[in-house]
Amino acid sequence: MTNQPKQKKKHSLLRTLLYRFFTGLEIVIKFCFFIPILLFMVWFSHKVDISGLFQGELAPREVANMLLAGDTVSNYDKMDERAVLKLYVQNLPEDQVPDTVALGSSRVLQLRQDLVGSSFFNMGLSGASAMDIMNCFYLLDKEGKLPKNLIIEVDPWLFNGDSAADLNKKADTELFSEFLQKGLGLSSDYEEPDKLELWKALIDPAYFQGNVKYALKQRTTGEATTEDGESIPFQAVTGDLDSLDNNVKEPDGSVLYQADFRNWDYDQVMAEVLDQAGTLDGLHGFSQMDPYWTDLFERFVSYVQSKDVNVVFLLTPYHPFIIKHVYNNPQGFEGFFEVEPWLRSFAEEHNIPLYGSYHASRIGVPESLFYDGLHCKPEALKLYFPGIEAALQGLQTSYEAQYLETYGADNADLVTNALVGTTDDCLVVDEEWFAAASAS
Amino acid sequence: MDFNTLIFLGFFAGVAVLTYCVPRPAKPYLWLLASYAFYLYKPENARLVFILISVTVVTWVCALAMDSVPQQATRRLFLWVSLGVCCGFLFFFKYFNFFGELLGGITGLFGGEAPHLDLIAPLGLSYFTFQSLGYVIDVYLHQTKAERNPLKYALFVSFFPCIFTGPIERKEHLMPQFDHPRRFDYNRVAGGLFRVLWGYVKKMVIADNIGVFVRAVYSAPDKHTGPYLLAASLLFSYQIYMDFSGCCDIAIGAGRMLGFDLLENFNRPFAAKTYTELWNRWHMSLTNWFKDYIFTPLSFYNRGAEGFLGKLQGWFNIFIIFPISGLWHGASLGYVIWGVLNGLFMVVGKATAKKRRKLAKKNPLYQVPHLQGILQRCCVYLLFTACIVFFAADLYGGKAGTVFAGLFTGWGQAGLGQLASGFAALGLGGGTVLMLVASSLVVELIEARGPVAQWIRTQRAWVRWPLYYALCLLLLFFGVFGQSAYIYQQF
Repeated sequence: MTNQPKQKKKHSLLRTLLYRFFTGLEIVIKFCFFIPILLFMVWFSHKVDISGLFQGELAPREVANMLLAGDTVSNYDKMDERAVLKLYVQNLPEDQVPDTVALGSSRVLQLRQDLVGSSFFNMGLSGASAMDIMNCFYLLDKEGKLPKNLIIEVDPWLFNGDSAADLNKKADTELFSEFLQKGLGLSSDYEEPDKLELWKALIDPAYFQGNVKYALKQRTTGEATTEDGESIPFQAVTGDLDSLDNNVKEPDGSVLYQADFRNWDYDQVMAEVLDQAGTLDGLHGFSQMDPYWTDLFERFVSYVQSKDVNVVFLLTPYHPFIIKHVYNNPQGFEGFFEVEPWLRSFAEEHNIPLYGSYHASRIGVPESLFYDGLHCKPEALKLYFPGIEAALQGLQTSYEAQYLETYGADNADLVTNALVGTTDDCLVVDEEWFAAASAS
Repeated sequence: MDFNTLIFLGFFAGVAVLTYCVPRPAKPYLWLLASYAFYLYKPENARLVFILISVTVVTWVCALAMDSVPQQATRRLFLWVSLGVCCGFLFFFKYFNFFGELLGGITGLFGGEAPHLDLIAPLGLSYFTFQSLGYVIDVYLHQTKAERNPLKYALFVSFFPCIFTGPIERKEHLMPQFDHPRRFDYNRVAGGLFRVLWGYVKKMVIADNIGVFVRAVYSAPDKHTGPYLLAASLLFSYQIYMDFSGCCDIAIGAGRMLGFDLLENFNRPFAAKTYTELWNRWHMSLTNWFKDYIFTPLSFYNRGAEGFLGKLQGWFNIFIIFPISGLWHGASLGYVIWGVLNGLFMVVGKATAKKRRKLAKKNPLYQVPHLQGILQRCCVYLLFTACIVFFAADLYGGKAGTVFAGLFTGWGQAGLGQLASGFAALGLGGGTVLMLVASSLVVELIEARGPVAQWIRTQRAWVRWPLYYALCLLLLFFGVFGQSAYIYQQF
């Protein structure tokens, strides 16, 4: 009799606990019925992503997606190239990672798939600085999409101190700080971004509504616009590329200039060359190679090699007139003359193939193969770059072969040192050699 | 902490779970803790928390003293102390600058300057002072016993679902619920949750979408013509109803989830056929407060008068409540005019009721079934809107005079298409209008069936769940997020 109330209490406690447990479970299950709404909101916001929080801004995203789809894209000049490359790498399927990637400035943007020979993407950027080049590689590295081969087009201004380290003030300094810290193991002001804030946007109904409005508008009008409603000027180019009225970006990342620019006559080219000789972007005050950026470049190359990526250096020539102008006015450009010899010795030391030269005549590029003072035509590249397979084997270019055939193996060093032929103002190559080299 | 924030949802979920996990005697203390956390979350409130504490302490001590002292004079002294402290805080924080400016206007004639202080009133000041005052007056009038437990009384004053926007609770109604917390009841909690959701839809979908248009028009009334001003004025009445009643739905629903029955504040006011009925259905806790603590005592003191003087005194007693109510809403002339107009409409309504009833019998329109009710409701709505123009003008920084003057401009100048695109540019596009009409209809139809929390629990699952989903999707697609707080919160 005395135990009875105790038993009863025990029984009711168990019942209460069970009741509470199952009630709690019922509530949780019923709340789960609302999860599809939440999931839909998250999925939709992530997919449309009007502010580009997750997939990048709308305009660069359009360009990147068109390039990935194999389209040539119009209005290259209006592109935010750095954003496009970031999104291109982000959205690049792993099974489509190119074997070879080229890094450098606009001076490498004429390097095309047919000149390289394997699956290829050109990540050249207008006015690329040392930061840009390292950032581009780090983007690939971060995403785990490293190519087998890396062509680094080395511009002299990469070694011209801090003022030229970020030539156009467009480089992503945060990404660079991240690369310094996480890639090279150097100290930097990099701080891990607060990703929580970013992800909060996915469960922000206001962001969802913005995405819905944008998607509906796009569906109704059929026009791609930015978040602010401005139309996105990039379209897939169809038809005849020979009569382009704007510069376009090809699916291999290279740039095809508009027909008018490509067909400039000698006077037009020289007018531009004269103008560029006056400004010489990135080379002013280049009294010596900057030790910090030189050291960083060395570390960068070692880092690339440590990732089992084959490196090839490429030097794009300046127009002969510009070279002569610098030779005639060397004061303040001393560092410029140091770069090529240093790079050649560095390449030799690290067993890195190096092709091209800043001196057009050394590599057999006549002035007729220049669009302007800084950019040479694809035909010129064909002269001084033999394709990636040949480059990795250290094979000679057609011009080198022609030169050796003319002067013999005993004078091989002349290939890199000779200044071949002159006109009144410009250094030019021997027309016969050029004809023979081009034909081979 | 605002009701329409994620942080509130998280906070409330935590409090609700804890409520049903802690032992019953500990529950009031958990709620007190939660209430102060809720109040202190806003830094501006944290700086002024001494006001809440002072009001709580003074009214608790005075009520206790009144309860234990038999002498009427001493009791009256304690009543005046409470009134002085509560009204003092109210006056200082809400009305100092207003009366200072009025005074300045007068002294300005003689070269004096208006006194002005940079004051920010703590949120909920009007609500918790009125709630405390009501309690003290009830104790003074022997209508309730003083609460002995200071913490429970502090909870009564600061109870978080009611502190910012009411309803203004009574001790006899709320305190017993603290003393005897309810057990978990699935139907109550589910019903409460539905009412919270309902409140969010009313506030964020209906009120805030209308608010986008009203704000655009009222913030620059001189730039808009008659059609826009008329639409904004008519819509503002509904906006403020949806805003405030939505907020009350959240408060009452949240209270219900914790096991409380809070006072209802609205009973479909726009279904009222007379102005008196409207005020019996609108902000009921405040109206009843005024009725109990101003109208009734005034009527008591004026009870001797007879004949026309008696009528006049009766009308005055009704009238005076409204300007006071206007001042309660905010210290500005607009709110006072709003109150005066409402008072006048009430008095005229009372004075002419009999004659209007006689006339109504001869009105041929009233012979058509349902038409009388519809016309009466329209009249009530229009009268209410005429007053609310002053309210809206004060709220959005426009000028009521400009609104009234502009009402007669621009008619017939613009075509329908032009008007439609004008409305769309101000936030009332075709889709929004369609959504607003549909949502409002659903709200009115369902609320006509009784309290929504109870109604939903009587429905079958195939009605309930699609409705839950519809409300959630409505919120997701049309809710205005990151917007203003509740309009009545600032009062």
